[in-house]
Amino acid sequence: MSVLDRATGWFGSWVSRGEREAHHDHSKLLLHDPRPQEELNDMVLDAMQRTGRGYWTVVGLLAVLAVGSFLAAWVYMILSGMGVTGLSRPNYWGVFIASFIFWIGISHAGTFISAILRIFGAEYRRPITRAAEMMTTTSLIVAASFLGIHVGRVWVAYWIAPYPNQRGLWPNYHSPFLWDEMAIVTYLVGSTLYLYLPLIPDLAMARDRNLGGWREKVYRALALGWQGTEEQWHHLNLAIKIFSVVIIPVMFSVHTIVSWDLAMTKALGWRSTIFAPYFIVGAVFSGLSAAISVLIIARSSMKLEYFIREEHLNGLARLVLIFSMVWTYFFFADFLTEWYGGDAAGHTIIQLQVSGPVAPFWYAMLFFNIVVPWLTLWNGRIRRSPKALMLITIGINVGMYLERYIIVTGFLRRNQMPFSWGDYAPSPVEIAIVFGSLCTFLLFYALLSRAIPIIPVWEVREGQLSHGLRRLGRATVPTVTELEE
Amino acid sequence: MSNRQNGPVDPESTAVVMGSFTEIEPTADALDELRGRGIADEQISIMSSLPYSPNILGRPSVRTRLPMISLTSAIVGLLAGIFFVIVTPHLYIIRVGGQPIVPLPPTFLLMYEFIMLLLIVGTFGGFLALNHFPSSKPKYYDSKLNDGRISLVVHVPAGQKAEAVAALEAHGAVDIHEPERREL
Repeated sequence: MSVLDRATGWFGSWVSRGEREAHHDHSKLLLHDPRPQEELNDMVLDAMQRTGRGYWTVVGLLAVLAVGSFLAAWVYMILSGMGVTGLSRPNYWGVFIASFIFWIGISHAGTFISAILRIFGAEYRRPITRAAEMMTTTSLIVAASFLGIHVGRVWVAYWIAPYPNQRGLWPNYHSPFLWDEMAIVTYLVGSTLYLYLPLIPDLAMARDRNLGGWREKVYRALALGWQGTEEQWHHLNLAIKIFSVVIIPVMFSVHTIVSWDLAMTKALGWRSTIFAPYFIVGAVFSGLSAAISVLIIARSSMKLEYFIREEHLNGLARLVLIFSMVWTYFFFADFLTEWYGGDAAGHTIIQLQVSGPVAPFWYAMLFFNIVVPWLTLWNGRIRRSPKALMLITIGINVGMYLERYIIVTGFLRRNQMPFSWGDYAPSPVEIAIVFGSLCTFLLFYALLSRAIPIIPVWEVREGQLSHGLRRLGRATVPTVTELEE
Repeated sequence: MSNRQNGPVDPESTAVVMGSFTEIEPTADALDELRGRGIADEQISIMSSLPYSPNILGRPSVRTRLPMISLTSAIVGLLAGIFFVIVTPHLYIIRVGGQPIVPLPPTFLLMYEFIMLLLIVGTFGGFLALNHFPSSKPKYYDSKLNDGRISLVVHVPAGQKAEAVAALEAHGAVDIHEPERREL
């Protein structure tokens, strides 16, 4: 046996070991491990109401950081002017735009996990869709705030609205700045309603429990009078199907337009025809990674081990690996074209990344986005390990933030005119706002996770109803029954 | 859409019976028996915590205008897009040398966003309207529905009430009673 054969054999067994271990015991799979619906309801409602001292300490700390870092720094910048940032010629876009792109990217997780996996019938999506959709809505709110932060004079933001004003100007709807606004508004409205629609039966479930206090009033109002009649279910399923189909192109349009904010300019490194798909793939890559991080935290802090299992982490981790490869393909295609193009100005961008001031970030990006996932996520055991996945996915999001930082703030440092080259470093105010935005996102998510059922109980129960085991020859194999018409 | 959830037209001459099941098979059997005793599908409404399709329960399919509402909303979105992106630039002309008043690529892009936005909002509005949401009117309801029960609410002439009860009992319905409307 040659060395190559032995190496291949070892690699194959390493890759498939975890798979074999998981697939022999079907009772480890959520949809093959049904429990009475009452018990499922109790598990989810108990998790929502489990707000001990630890939870409130974390929420309090996040609130202090969100107000003290995000809001206070923003207010200080409004009072002092944009001069307190590190922005100066030629770096007019800094970490605010990098953060805007990053948070828009994170928002892609909900749509991808919920809508795309729903359409393709990926059954393991069932318990994790809502947690991902919640992430979409919260990250979009944080992303939208960065548009206001970036423009500086946020109090006159209404000037971009298309109304005939006293100056006789009608703001131009064809401006790329308004493309962003339209796309984000559409996506925010769509993803919020898409979060709300499948939530209605679960809100009715919470309403029926007579939890008392503010919860009972809120659930009663939000459940809208849901009875669970045939007509209501039919309309709900149809509306969810329509939303699933519609929200996907909207998701694509959002990050496409964000990429065009850069690609429509003449800046070096930005004018690229593959920026739109490159950005979308990067967004899904970082969004999926963030979804895994959030699910692991929710699973342990809310004691949701019954619903969020290793199979779900495994399924998402596989997607992360695939998207890491696709992202690498786009990254390499973009890099290689600039390199072989031979344009002297373009080469300054290459040099900037490989051996210039952004080189440490560039190598860190490659390490977190390519080296780590490629070396680890092949292995089924690692894909099922919450601790390992937590580290890997946080690393990927650090890498993806660095990618946005390099593209936005790195490339602007060099242009066709060497006399106007300049370096950029974010000021303490910018760093405070960016750090505070992370705290704000976590704060919103932590509050939302205890306010609404984070697990779509009826979807899990429906999945358990449609799944079973069947004897085929000497094997017992899982089967799925089509419940819909 | 049928009037199943709206209840009887003349409450004086009709009776309402509710019975609950924990499994889908006896529910479908009870529905067959109710039909066999001359009680039409329109007189029976089903409430459940899971979306059982009409095929599973042997019921006629539910007709809905939701797709038409979504399509109409998309058309309204297209018209709104045309107004904002094509009409308004001609009302308040900003001339830029060498550039058209209405450049086509960004026009298509914005019209696409308007179509999608109105389609989404219209579909959600249609969902609310077709279900009469939000509704605070008292309704028949089984508060144990979310524990996995499937409840049948049967509207029958007063003289046929015993038959409805017998059909429900025959298939193991629990908690058979004359329900009262309650606020949800």
